[in-house]
Amino acid sequence: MTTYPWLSKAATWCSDRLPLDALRRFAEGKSVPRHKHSFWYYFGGLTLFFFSVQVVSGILLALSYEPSPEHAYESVVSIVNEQMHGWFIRSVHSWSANLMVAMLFIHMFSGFLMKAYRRPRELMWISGTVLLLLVLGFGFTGYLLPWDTTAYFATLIGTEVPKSLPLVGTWGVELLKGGEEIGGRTLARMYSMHVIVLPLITIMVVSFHLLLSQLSGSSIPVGTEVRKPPIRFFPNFLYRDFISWGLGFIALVVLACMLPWGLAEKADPFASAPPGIRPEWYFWPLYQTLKMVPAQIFTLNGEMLVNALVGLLIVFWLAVPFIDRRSARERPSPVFTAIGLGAILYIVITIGLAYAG
Amino acid sequence: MQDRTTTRASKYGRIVAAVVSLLITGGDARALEPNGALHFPGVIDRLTLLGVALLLGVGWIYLVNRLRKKADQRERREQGG
Repeated sequence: MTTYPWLSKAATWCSDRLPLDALRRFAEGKSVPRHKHSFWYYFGGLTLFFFSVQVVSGILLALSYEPSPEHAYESVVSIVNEQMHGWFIRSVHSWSANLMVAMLFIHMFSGFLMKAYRRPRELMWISGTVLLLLVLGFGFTGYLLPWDTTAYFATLIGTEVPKSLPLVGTWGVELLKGGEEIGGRTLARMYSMHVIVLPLITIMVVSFHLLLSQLSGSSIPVGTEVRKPPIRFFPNFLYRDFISWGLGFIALVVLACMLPWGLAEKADPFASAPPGIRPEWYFWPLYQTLKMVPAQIFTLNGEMLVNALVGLLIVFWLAVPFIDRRSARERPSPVFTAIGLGAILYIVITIGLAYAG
Repeated sequence: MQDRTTTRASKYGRIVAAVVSLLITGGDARALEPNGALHFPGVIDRLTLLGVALLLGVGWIYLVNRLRKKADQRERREQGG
């Protein structure tokens, strides 16, 4: 007997038509281990939360945004100054993008250090790495859309990065820009990538990643003592996830209200680049590395070397579950722990240097 | 005793003053964009919106936490029984 008969009727109506009971039994069957590192499990859910915020706020912004060099900037100004709560929606979109990347980095590195990629979760790791690349793609393509000076010149520099790659370099730059200059075609390409191509691929990969996480469950780090019994994913862990979403929401609205996202002057392709042009903070490790590496190393082009190194790193990151054989045998692998910590240290130092410089 | 209370009051006073000044200056600083193209609502309007959003967020956490406690009790009962 329920307090709300209409709710009971609605539930019966739905369960007669959808396999809800089977889904509930499946979710109740999944359990989440409890140990001293369980805290890190919440960051995957937080990344998903900020991604959902991105989708909703992005749809609202797309209703008023005009992707052309003549009107893009004015439409952003109009969203902020004239649309009801437009400034808030834009700020939420920009801040949640940054928070999503931050949560994704924490989720990825905590997974790496806990060796969550080991058998049978190799595909979960690979799909997660693909999601990281997609999210960076969102950041890159979304940066130009306001068509302000910062966005224009940062994109101009960013699109030149692949140029040094042999064979595909020039073609890659052409593909990104749609011509010789950053112009209407570049903006159209960035916009269509940002709102159609990347979201479609991301939703497919996220669904695959979530399905795998439901099937394989959460991994327990090698050598971690589990003293407490696991908790059910549904509803016990999901409630905890929802609490972390509430905290994420509070952090987001505080940032959006107190530090609304700004806008530089309208882009002028004929003007010279203002000093201090930088990409978004999550590209700073690459940006700083390119700054530190000399233009010529022996006979090789420095930029080309960095690009090749980034390519190799991506391949290595994807292949980690197959290279780390010790973790696969449930044995500690200090070499990979050192690699993970070294990568975190490098990212922190380069971000710090880029911020200071 | 009184000294300790005074120190505590002064500590909390400083925190409140810091938060208030952050809210006000943080808001105003951002309102002055390089070309002045953007006009954000005033601090009071933003604080009102923030207050409503915070109420929603805190309410959500309170509600979900109650449900979590009930679910945990049920799970413990089932494991015990």
